[in-house]
Amino acid sequence: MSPLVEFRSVERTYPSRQGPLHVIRDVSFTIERGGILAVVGESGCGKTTTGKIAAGLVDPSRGTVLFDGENISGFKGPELSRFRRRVQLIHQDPYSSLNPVRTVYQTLAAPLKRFRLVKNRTELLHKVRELLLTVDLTPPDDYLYKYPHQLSGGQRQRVAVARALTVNPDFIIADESVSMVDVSIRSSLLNMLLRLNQELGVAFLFITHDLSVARYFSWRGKTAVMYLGRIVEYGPTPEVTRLSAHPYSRALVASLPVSDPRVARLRAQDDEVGSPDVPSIQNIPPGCAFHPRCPLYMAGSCDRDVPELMGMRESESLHQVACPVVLTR
Amino acid sequence: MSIRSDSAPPASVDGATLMSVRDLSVVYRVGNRLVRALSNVSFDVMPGRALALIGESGSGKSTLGSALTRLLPRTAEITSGSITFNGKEGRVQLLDLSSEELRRFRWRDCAVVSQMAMNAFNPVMTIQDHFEDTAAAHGLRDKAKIHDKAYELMETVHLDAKRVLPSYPHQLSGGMRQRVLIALSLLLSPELVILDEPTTALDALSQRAIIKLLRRLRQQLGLTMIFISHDLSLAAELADDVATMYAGQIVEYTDVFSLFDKPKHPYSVGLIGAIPDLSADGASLVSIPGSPPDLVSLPSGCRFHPRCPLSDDKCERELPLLVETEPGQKVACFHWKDAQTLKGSDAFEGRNS
Amino acid sequence: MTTRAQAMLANSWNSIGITWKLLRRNRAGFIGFWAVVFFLLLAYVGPLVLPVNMTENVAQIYQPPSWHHLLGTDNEGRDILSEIVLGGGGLIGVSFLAAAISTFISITFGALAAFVGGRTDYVILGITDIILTIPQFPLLAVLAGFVRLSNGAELAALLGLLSWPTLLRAVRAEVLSLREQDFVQSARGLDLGTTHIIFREILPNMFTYIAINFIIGMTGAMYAQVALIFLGMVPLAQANWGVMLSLAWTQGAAFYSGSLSYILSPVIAIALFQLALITFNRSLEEIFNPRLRTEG
Repeated sequence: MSPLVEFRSVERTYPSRQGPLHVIRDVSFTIERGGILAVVGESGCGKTTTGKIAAGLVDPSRGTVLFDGENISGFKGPELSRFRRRVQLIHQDPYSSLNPVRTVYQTLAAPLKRFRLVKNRTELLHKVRELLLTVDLTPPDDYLYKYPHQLSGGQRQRVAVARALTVNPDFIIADESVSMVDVSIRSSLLNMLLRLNQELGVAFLFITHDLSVARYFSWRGKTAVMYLGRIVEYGPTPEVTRLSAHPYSRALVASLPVSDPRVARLRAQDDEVGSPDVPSIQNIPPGCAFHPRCPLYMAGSCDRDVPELMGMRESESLHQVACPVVLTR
Repeated sequence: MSIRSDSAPPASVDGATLMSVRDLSVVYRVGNRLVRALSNVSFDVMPGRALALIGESGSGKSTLGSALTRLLPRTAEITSGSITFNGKEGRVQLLDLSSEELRRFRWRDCAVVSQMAMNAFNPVMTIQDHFEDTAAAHGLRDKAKIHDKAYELMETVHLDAKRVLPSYPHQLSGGMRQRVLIALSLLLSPELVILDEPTTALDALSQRAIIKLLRRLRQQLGLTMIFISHDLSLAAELADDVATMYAGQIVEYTDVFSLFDKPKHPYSVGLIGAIPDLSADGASLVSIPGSPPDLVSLPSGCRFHPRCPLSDDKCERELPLLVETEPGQKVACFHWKDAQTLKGSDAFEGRNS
Repeated sequence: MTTRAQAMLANSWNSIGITWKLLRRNRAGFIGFWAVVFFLLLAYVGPLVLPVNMTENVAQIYQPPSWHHLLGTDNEGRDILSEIVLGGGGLIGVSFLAAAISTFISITFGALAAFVGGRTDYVILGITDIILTIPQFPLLAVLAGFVRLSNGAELAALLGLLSWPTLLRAVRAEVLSLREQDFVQSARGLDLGTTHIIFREILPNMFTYIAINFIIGMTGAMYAQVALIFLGMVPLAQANWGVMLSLAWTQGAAFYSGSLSYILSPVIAIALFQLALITFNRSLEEIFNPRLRTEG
């Protein structure tokens, strides 16, 4: 059986005055049915573009994206409609993800009515209530006739998730969906999404800049660390975050928050990374894009050859890293 | 306690505070509704120490930050309280200052590094211009001297002065702009620096760099700092003392080590449990049910009680006051002795409101 | 189901209640609302219930206001108040129709251009720009000379067909920014269809804007009409505030000291109605804003 989602050497470029901008390059990964992949990276790493390509909102310039074994760029008409419904995107900003002039009920009822997922009005109301319960908005009747501005950021994100669930998707792309929500609410939102994964079997592409959140969410799945358009490390989350190999992933792990001030203060005073700023994608360094900031930089090779993702150990290729210096050690 | 070596001396007993806030309340008038952003907040800032004001949206932390330098918007009104600054030049009552005195106070005694690193700059002025303008506004017009000082400050914040000073703000990355703002805030050698969400808009690695820079500045210059942040882990990295804020009040005030070892307010317990840190391998995170209250219609009694697993009838009726439990540690909770029982991910479960 | 029907009924009553409350909230808007109602009653109900009398009476030319003729009489001895009562309907009706036509064109094609994009956008925008560059009033005057504008509907069509370009550009810009909003993208992701997205998701967010532009369109159409009539381009025989003004001028009323009321009455009526519309607008803004609708 084919995986649910498969990226094969996907590339996306945008034209610009200085020549083509490579937003993502050579991105390959798979997500199983009911699986989770977290994509982590800083601004400009291409994680949002990756999500949009997976949602079919942006076409790849090169490479193929397979959904359920079929190339998504070939979808047309009813096939495209079906694909659109099976894949749902949840945006980052709770303040723009809901229509300000529509009530929660109107927002949730529209897709249910359009696709005749309910038989009559009674069933419609019942289904809307059920969806609100699924996303922990209880009691649901308190929320039915509210407008978005009457809800908090966390509640709005829950309504956005409920809206995505109206069409029973197989795959949800969550693009920074919890990053604008308060900490005390963030974890319950994460737990709710995880429950959807476990109970409804929805697969997730979880996009975030925050490795700690990615690690929590995808502990049973995989993590891909992206840097300036390429995946630099990829594998099962526990390995990628506990035994991280790429110098960039290691720097990200070292920057994770700790909830113990003693540990925080004992952490290496002088980190590995040279310049703390990410170069712009208009000006990606040659060779390994990370080399100007890399503590393991070796002149003559790192600034010349683009490293490929390769398995960490001979026997097991699940954990891959794109750094020959680490691999030959 | 060698770990404390990078921190400042502990809170002094003789009461030599640098800034002292008493009973401060601020409301916003929106139409005919009253938003109670701050209610009777009191705390002290000791010289040389770093205080973190931690809270989520609607906790009042930003209002408090603006009130400390009287930068509140027009719709806000200070309804009670006092702010005393006890600097080199004597004691001043902040709320009594004229606008001219206030202007002097803002850079010389107390500088603010604002949240929006981009908005703080004028896009058509170079960084050098910003330094000259700020200096000129405070009567310093010797360009050569200002230039030297700017150079020195750029080195202090690890920026290449030759490249950065003639640049325009948009030519710099977010992390660099943040460092320029910090350098600018130090131009007139203030005694107190207030930083509003100093790392929030930055990438992970830039955040690390700023944290390290701030830590070093404290060691080198003996600055007193106030951080305002939603991020408790920033407090773990940088602060000596932490004031946890909720719905316009300080609910816990303590030194950072005690806070993380033994949080006494149920809300602090929840917040600490919600940090997905390295040790939490796949373990469930704490989630606090419900959401922060509407500041227009606050719950009766303790403002946290609708979300608190320890709440009882008394919490619904009476507002707990901030009381000292041990020297230097204060908490506003009737059940602080039981707060420790809330550790563990499911302690907050089963309550939904 | 009865409980649901009841709930819906209660809901709509509630919604009328809220609308009323919002209407009263803005004092100027509320006064504007009543002024608009007053003019509409005057123009459309007035002729049916008031004792209007349009017979000429040469013995009573240019009478000053009196108990018998509240606003005096005109150059043929007719009662000016009667003329005002009878002369509003046509003018207001044509303005309303003209504004409706231009708003309909702007919204339909503006939204289409923005939403479909590509060549459609290019063509619509091209036509808009061409019409926008033609000086409106001279064109109107010339066209009015060629076309026999024997009835109000034709005049309204002419006015409406010439006044949409500015609003179209504004609608297009607004839709362009709204379509990039996350909620519109989500609606696309849910495959809710273009009709739903335009009419249910995007346009309701523009109601305030559309209402305001409708009213601006109405005032514009009214002025254009009066100007055309004043210049004698539109041969409208029946009583009309514009015709009154035109006649007052062409009959040399300005040279008689007793004719002040004849000249001023239509001018004041037009000005007051415009003012009523513009102030009423303020309340419309509040009514269409969901943020205000749900506030306590």
